[in-house]
Amino acid sequence: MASSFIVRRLTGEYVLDHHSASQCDPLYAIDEERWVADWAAEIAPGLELPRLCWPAEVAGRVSAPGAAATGIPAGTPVAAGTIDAWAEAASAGVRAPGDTMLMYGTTMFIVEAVAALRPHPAMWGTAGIFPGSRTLAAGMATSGALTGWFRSIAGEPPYETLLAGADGLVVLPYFAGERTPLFDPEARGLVLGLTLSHGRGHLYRALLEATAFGVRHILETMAGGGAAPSRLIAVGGGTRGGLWTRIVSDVTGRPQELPRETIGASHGDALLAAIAAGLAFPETPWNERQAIVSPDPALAGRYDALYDIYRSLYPATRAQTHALARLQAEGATERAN
Amino acid sequence: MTLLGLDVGTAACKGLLLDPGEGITGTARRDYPLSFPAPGRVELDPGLVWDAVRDVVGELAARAGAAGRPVRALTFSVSCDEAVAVDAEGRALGPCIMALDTRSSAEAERFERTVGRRRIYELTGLPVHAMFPLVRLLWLREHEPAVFRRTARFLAWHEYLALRLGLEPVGDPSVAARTLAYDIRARAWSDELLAAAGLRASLFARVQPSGTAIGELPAAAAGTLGLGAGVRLVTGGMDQSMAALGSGAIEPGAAMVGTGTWQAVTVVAEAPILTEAMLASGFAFGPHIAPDRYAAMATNASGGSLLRWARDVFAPGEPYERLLPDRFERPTDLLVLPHFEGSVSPWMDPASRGAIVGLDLATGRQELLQAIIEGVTFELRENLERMEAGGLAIRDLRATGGGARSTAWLQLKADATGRPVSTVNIGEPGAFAAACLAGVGAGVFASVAEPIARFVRTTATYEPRPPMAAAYGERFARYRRLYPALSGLDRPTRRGRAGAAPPGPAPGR
Repeated sequence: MASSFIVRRLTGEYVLDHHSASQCDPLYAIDEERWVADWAAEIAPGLELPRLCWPAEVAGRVSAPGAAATGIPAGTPVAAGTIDAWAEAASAGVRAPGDTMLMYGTTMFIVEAVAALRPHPAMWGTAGIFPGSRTLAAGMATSGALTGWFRSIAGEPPYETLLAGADGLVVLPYFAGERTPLFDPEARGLVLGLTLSHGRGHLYRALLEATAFGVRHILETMAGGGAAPSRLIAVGGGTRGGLWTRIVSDVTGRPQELPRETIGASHGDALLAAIAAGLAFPETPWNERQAIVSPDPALAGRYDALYDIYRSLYPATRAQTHALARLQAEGATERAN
Repeated sequence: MTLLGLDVGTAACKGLLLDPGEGITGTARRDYPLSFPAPGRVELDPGLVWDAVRDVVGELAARAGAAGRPVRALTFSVSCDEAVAVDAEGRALGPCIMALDTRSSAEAERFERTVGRRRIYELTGLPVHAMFPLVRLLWLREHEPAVFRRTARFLAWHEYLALRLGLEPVGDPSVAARTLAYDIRARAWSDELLAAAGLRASLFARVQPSGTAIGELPAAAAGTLGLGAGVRLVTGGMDQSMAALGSGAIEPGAAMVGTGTWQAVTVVAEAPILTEAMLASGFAFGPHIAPDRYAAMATNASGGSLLRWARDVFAPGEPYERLLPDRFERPTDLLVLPHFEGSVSPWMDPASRGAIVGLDLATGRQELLQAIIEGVTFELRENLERMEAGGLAIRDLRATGGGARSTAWLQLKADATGRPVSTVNIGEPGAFAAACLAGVGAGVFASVAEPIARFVRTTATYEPRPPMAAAYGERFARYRRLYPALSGLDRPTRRGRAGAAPPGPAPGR
């Protein structure tokens, strides 16, 4: 993994953090926080397994070649680090069970701190950032990518964003299949409710609302798995402008906190380094809350009705969309030949 | 000597001059605006229609006169499902309620409950709808009693225009069959239906076969129109059957698909087939213009309107020629349910809405446009297949309307329906058929078949390309399951769901 590779180049140490290791199913036993050595021997015979440590632990010190390559003084302690979304969760303040980061990017990625993991078929359960911690994660296959797609076929913004509910349009955002909670690579996008009065603004708004319905679906699935998100923190490029986060709060009925510092994972890495060096603690305030996006209760009824439709659409059209996805794959093969 | 055919539509009056020896020698057109006085209401001022007819006739009469071949006879192809209320003096009692106007839905339902949907179909060949003149009269009686009391006649456009021209307002079977008061097999006003509605037969015009001379225009009217003496007015017919006739659909098995704002298919039949299955799909039957024939009709509430929508949303201002290639070379992997304005035939669900299924991040603008045309064409195929399953023979499909100007769309019609599709040399088949009927009424032609055989030619035939037809066959099988899968999902439901707010206002939510 990237962090492990860089640590190796800097320090000569062969280390992997517990969180990244917990994504290496089935090589890592999360209950015991150790490698499953006998499986490893079977899957990758002869592969030496890296030493495990937590992301904010010192993995080693900058070696002479590391110093020569980077200009960082030799002997500087290096924290193990971890995967970017989890470093960003640390920056955003995901600490107590129920703290949940919503990352608005090309895809929507969600990381929740949980007290304990219960196996869940529709979510990813992993070790967290801090020793002994656990997280539940979920991700949509598209979200910001949809607005990019829309620009490519409908021309550049501005688009009118109109009324909540886009005058009766519902979109399934599965333009690249869907990850959690469907795990269906053959799911596809769908627009329902079209009339001749719907224009660019309606379609754009309906696409944003579709990602919000996807978030609601994920939050409800997390809650259904016994790990109800209690505090939402929104990060990522998609939080700029305010429209998208407002739609997500209106659709989910939940407030979202916006942290002041939004540069992302690197800000979380600095926290990991500070903790590793003994300069900070996990409890140290690292990112102030800048604003809260509150849901508009007046829209709840309308969005509940649309969300019902959203949830019924995927099962109702699964057979057709799977067939179309296979035709798309065949077509792509034909065109390539 | 020249024959004059007029096509009175919902947006324009088009006129055409036919020389019995040489063919079409001129056309003219005047537009008029619909008015939308309130949501669901669509009206047209009969005065505007009269003005347009007067100007079109005037322009063409002048041209015919200048060429030394004055107009001998004229008649109309008219948009049906509309009627003008006139008083005892023949004055219009206000604007005409147009077919798209939804104000009389309650009266339609009540009449249907009184007589029975099936019985009405057996007599009239029509699935009950708010637009039919009988239902409009029930609405007038209920909501505009003063107007209803003064209504002496309730006249279709060609009947109203005959009256304006100073002659008896004589109708024809094809238009009478769209009133919901006409027995299409007896070819007479239905006592049973009029009694059930509590309406007198004298509200409706006398009916004569299409192509019957009504009389010669009085001098005053002829003068207003710039016509000479001795010009005969002849009975016309309803637009859809007239367009079918004008594109050569005269023998049983011949069919015409007109792709305009909406898409409609007309199939010439030996006899009406008024079964439960045909009714369930919303297929209407009525007398065809050609004697002793019937026409079966299916309307999709979609067509060019969707292509225009897609153009305006995704490529505003682009001409269609730039958006569509000469041919589509492979089917899209999308399915479009083209119910942007609900569904008429075959699903009969006005509350249905449009859907696009199968989108991915690589879906492009051109693919979307093609998928929309595919959806519109699959609806046509659904209608054709249900008509055949119901016992209608369909041997020959001719395409007219704006959709017939695109070679890509024509080839797609053939590929996606799996049948050859032809185009003809007649650009305005409705007005052309009217000119032909004018010739019958003037004694220039022995029958309407004569000018059709003389002038209508197939200009191109698009054969289904086997690999495309096979691929579309596969997609069509999936398409047919799309509406049943989506049906009802886009309407609010009250089914319970974990986490949903309870019905009614809840504090804080």
